[in-house]
This record gives sequence, C-alpha cells and structure tokens, in this order.
Amino acid sequence: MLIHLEDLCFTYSLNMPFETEVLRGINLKIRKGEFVGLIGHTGCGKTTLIQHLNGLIKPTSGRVMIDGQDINTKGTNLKNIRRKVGLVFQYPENQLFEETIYKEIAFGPEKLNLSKNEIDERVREALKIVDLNYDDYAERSPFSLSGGEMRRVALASILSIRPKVLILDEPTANLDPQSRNNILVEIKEIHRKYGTTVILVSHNMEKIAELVNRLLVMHEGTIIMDDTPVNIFEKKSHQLIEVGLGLPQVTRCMHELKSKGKKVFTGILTVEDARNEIIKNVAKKQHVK
Amino acid sequence: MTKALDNINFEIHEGDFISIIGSNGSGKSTLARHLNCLLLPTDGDIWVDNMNTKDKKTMWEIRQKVGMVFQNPDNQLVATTVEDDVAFGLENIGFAEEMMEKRVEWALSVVEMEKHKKSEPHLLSGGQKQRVAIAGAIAMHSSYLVLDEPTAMLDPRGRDEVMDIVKKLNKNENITIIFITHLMEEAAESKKILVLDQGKIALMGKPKEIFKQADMLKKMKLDIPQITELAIQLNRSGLNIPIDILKVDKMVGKLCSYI
Repeated sequence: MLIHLEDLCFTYSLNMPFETEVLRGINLKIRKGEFVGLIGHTGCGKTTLIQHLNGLIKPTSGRVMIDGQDINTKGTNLKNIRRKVGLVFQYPENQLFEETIYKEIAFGPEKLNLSKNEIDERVREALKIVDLNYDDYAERSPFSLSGGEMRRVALASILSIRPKVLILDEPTANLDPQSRNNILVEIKEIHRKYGTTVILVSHNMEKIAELVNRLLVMHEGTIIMDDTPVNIFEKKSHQLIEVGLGLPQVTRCMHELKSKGKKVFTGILTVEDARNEIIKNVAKKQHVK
Repeated sequence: MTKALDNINFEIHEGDFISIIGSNGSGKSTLARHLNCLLLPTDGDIWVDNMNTKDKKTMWEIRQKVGMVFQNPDNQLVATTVEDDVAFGLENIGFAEEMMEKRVEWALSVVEMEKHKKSEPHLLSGGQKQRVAIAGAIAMHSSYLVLDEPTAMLDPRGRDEVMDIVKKLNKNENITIIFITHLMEEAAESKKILVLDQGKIALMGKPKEIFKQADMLKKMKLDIPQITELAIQLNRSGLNIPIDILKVDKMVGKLCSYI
C-alpha cells in the first residue's frame, strides 16, 4: 500500500483554550497509480489531511504510513518522504522566487545532488509536461508570466523531483476556463504516462468528476464518502448538498428530471453523458408511442 | 510597455448588474481598479456620477460611491468583531456615532449577518467573511459595488451565499453591481456581460446573446455554462431545445415534454 492512514487524529492547540479537533479518526488506503479526488467545504480538514502525507504536520494520534513506513517514527528521513510525496500548495505561484524559470525548476533536483546533465534533463522534461517551450521560457523571469503560466512553472518545479505521489491543493483556483482545462489535462497526462499517484483537492465538481476514479468527501474532519464519482452523484446527491457541496449543472438537471417522475439515470458526470442519457430516453418514449 | 487596457468605451447605468469575464491577464482587475481611482487612466477619462476620477478633489467622494470587494476575504477584514469591521469605513469618514450603530445594523441585515455581529471575523466561513466585506462597502451607502472575483476562494455553498446576496442588493437596494468572475455560471446570473480580451472590449450584451457565441468565447480562453453546452449538443442531435438556455430548471422544463 502506497499511502495508509490509520486512525489519524489531529487537534490544533492541544490543551489550549482554542483547542480544535480538525481530523477525527481518518482511515484511508491509497494504492499506487490511483487518481483520487478529495472534496469538502472550506474548513473540513482537507488541507490539514494532505499536510500529514509528507510530514509537514504530525498527527496528534494515529499513523501515517508511506510505502509501508511510519513516517513519524524516530529515524525517518523526512527528506526522502518529501521526494516521494510532492505537494503543490494553493496558489503555488506565490512560492516562486528564482531569477529564471530554469533555476526555479532546477532547485529541487539540485537539492537531490544530481549531476548537471540529469538536472538539465529533468528541467526540460518538467517544462515539456506543463507545455511550456524550453527555448522560449527557460531564461525568462518567472515573474514576467501570466497567472496560468506561473501556476504551470510552480507545478513543473515539483514535477522535476519526480514524486511518486502528486498532491495538488486547488490547482485551478483563479484561472480562466482554458488555463483551468490545460492544467487538468496536464495532470491527467502525468498520471497516465508516468503512473504517478495523484490526489486532487478541488471545489470544482464538474472537473473533478470527469477526472478521478475515486472520490473522497470530507466533512467535519472525517471521510463521509469514498466511492466512484458515478455512485456518489447517483446515490448520495442529497448528502453532498447537505454538507455544502454542489452538483454539476448537468447532474442536477438529471436529478430534477428524476424527481419529476422521469426514469433517467442520475450518475451523470459530463455533458456528453447527459446528452447520451437524454437521447436514449427520448428514443425509448418514441418507441413506446 | 504593455497596454493593459486599450480604448475602452462603455456606460454603466443605475441599477445595472454587469459581469466582466475574460482570460487571466485580459485586464479585468485593472479595469475594476479604475472605477474608484485606485488606478488612473494613462489616456481617456472615467466619469462616476459626472465626477472625473482624475480630479483629486472628488476622489474620496468617488471612493465612497464605488465600493470594492476583493477576492481574498482574509485580506480585507481588519477589526476584531464583525460590527467593528463594518463600522471601519464609517469611522474613517467621521460618521456621527449615534447613527453609526443603526447603519451597521442595516448593512449586516442586508447581507444576513446580523446574528454574527459580535463574532470574530476570522472564525467565520469564507462566504460569511465575504458577506461582511460587502456589508462594510454598503454601510458607506455606496451606489455602486465592484466585486473582483469575490467567489474564487469559496466552496460551493459560500459561492451561493455571496451570489444570493449580490442579486438581492441589486434587486432590493438598487445597488449597481459590477461583478468579475471566471465562472460562467455566475456570469449567466447577471443582466449584462462584458467580455474583455487583451485589454479590449470583445463583446457586450445579455448573457443569452453572449453565450450563443461559444466558438468565439472559447477562442478567448473562455467557456459557456455546462447547461448551455448541453442545450447546444441536444439541439445538434435533433431535439428542439433552444441553444440559449442558461438555467437548469429551464432545461428540465423543456425536456419534460420529450421524456
């Protein structure tokens, strides 16, 4: 098992007046190569949870196992864990600091004591994955870029470490629709091509539903759903709305048709799914006539 | 030298509800910051109720008339309680203390946050924080409210809360709304949409007219609401569904006769 959380609990300001229980007994297993979506309203503990996965936060109780190793025991080299588990924070462009895009992306590999050639290879590869042309971008300042480009450079600077697990916290917030799609297409490609395990945290129900095979829904510090997006959208839409999350417009449309007595399938993730389901039902009705 | 805005001409009328959409770097925020003198034009003029934003004498009057709400709620709340935060702007202009309490209460009731007036802002949810920021702006009796991606950092419920309040402000309080967003579903809620592309106005019109031009919008790195996309696809498949549907309930109504 690549990631294994056992009875994970975390409390902020333990034994202090503002003591807050953020994570309450999380049990979770993620296998190598999975593409997992993590959703939940603001303050439900998503970010705290993912910060446990590379040792940025230590649990109050419970265990975090990465590749079978408890990362919070004495003698664990957290550097190694952080090479395995790459974390892309919210608004990662705020962390850009180097003079050139090349140096920015080379920063991680340099810390891995790689040779100059290897570093160069990794920078080129990372830029290619995020679809930025090496010759056009390598020597430019990261601060001369547009928001979407900066986000991609920040992503590339994590990819150049070649993590086994890539965790992204709201990678598309603030981007225009096309930049949003581009980033997500790139993440999907990384998952497909390199077999990287991906955990995607997002509020964007439309996109997350299309991308992931497994969806985790968090509420008040626990995981309340763990299933495929189709099953969750079909069977648990009420609970989703109750915990402050929404459904994509097309899924809502199918649920409303169903509530009007129409016998349509509601586990709908995309516009294409919705069109096919509607066309199928129209044909059925015409057949009956 | 980069022209962030290029030859922009438009009028906003009292009671309007305009969404501004455009790709990253198209000039949306730059345009918004011109509306209350945070930025001054290199060339051309902006008039707010017949006052020129370049005129230093009326700058504060313009800023009072044009309230601003930004993206990150944590960067705009300053006081230790919600009511103090809403009163902050009023205190700055030396507003009479005996009337202040009433004004703050009114503003908080409009954004439906009166129950939280004694709360500490940092303990509120994102949607609640944005509503407090809006209350702070309207407490100044602003006639215009500019919101620069106010929902970008919020979860779905927070987004709905802010959108409901903004619609209410426009409808019940007749406050003119200028709403910047990357979410096409939100833009679809406004009365008019202005599309910026590379610092120029590319399109302006009612949401129904704007979202009909899916191909052009996609070229400008934008999109159309999911439900409109579904309408277009069903129409292509031979169903008699209008391609300018923007809302789920409208679609459901149309489909009921088919299924």
